[in-house]
Amino acid sequence: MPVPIYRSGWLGVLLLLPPPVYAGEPVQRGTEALAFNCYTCHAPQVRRKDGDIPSLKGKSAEVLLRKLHDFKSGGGNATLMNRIAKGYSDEELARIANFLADDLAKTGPKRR
Amino acid sequence: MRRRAFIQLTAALMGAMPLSLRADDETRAKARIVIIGGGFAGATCARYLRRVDPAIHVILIDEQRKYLACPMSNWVIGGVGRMERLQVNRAGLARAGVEQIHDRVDAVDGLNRQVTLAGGRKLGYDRLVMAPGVDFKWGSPEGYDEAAALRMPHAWRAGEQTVLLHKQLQAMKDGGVVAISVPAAPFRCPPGPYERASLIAHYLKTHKPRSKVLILDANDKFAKQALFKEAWSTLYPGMIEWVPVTEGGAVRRVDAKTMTLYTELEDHKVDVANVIPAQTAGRLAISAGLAEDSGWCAADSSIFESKRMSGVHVIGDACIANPMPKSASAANSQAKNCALAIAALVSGVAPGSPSLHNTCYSLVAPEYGISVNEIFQVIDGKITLVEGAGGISPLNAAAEFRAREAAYDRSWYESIVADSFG
Repeated sequence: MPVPIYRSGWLGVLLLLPPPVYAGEPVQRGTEALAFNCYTCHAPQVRRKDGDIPSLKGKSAEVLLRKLHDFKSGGGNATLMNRIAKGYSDEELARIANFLADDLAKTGPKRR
Repeated sequence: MRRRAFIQLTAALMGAMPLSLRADDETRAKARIVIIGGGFAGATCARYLRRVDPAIHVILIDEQRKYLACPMSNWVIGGVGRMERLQVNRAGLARAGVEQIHDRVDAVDGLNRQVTLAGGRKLGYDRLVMAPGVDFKWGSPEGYDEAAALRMPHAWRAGEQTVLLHKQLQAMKDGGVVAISVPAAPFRCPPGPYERASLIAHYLKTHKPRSKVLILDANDKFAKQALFKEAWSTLYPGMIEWVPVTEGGAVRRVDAKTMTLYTELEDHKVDVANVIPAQTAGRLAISAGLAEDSGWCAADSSIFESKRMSGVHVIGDACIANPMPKSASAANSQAKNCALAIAALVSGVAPGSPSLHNTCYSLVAPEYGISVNEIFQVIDGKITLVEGAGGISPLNAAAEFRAREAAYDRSWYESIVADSFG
């Protein structure tokens, strides 16, 4: 019969785990970690009206990426996104745009 | 790199282990993750764990069935928002497959990886996430206890206290003084006291224009300070006085009977006193031995695992995550990164590098919003601000810009609640 990890002898091994700090290694922020932060303000399940924080649904990766680059260069009529976009490399922005376009295409119709 | 290789090896061994078995209903799950605390941090972590890996069994424990969110509570105090909007529905968590238990946790046994509920029931876990938020340090300032809070509300947790403070403002005479006592940092929601001062001034300007707001502050600077000060001189000239610690602003003692606040230099007898007490990590984190002497919990910057107890993660207001503030937005971001890390660990994969973020809006008047943003990365095990990004809204911005940010503030709230609670 399978034994839960918390009741198995492996607990001792777990306790020996060093803190997972990868000192000095180059920073490669994971794509999901990067993109999930977008949903704090742009949660796809919220119905949005004019004047609200815009929805990202239905936008292609190309459109999203162009917008992110506009923001990063200080354009795009932004209040906040210009400050945010500067925090990411072009390579990270591309991964974010691709992930969002893909992920949002998968989410169903708007609820509520 | 040797460390990483070791982790990968250990994690791989974990992955090769038999699936754990749910003790109660014998449904197979990859791992059982118990989360204590159903606020923004705990709820987000629960929801995103289920999203990232539906094979993970997630149990969320919170004593309260209903959750009142705090970010918009200053609107209620200033008379520009309704209490009902603070009510958060946890049905979305159930839809996401999160099992919810409404009970108190009495003990955490990190060695045997189990928690004990108030009824005596023991619950085992593969990993535990602590998201207990803050608790108040009663007696700081001296004389401030639960009884005093009924006359001098803290209103620093949404609920009856929020309503009480608003009612006191309604009952106050025109020409009265409203004091806000701010504890020394760190505390939950760094811009909160100053947003509150703004919205109280808005209420007073509309209803009792001869009144004043007095901020007695145990700090010498505050979040979005330049923006708040600009807004105060434009919208509420002469109405808000800020006394920093360097000018004797720290309140040492209060007397609720006489409505007096004592600083080192002066006694302030006021009409309404909003005393925000000093804070620590939630009591359970302290009794479980997770907190440092400071009262807050040290955790790894990448996966938020406690530095004092392996297999236990601490996220949200309770953890030390400098330079991240104690905000709903920071909690939400930490929770997502923690969920990704846990999902990786229980699958035998080394967690990726986190991406941490914070966005806080403050409302200064119904059509006047301001914001601050920070982007973080982890370098050499430390959460580090990304230089050249983030920052506060521009000074001297047009009214249209402030109005847009006020609308975004409302929209932000609706979105973060949906993102965190489903």
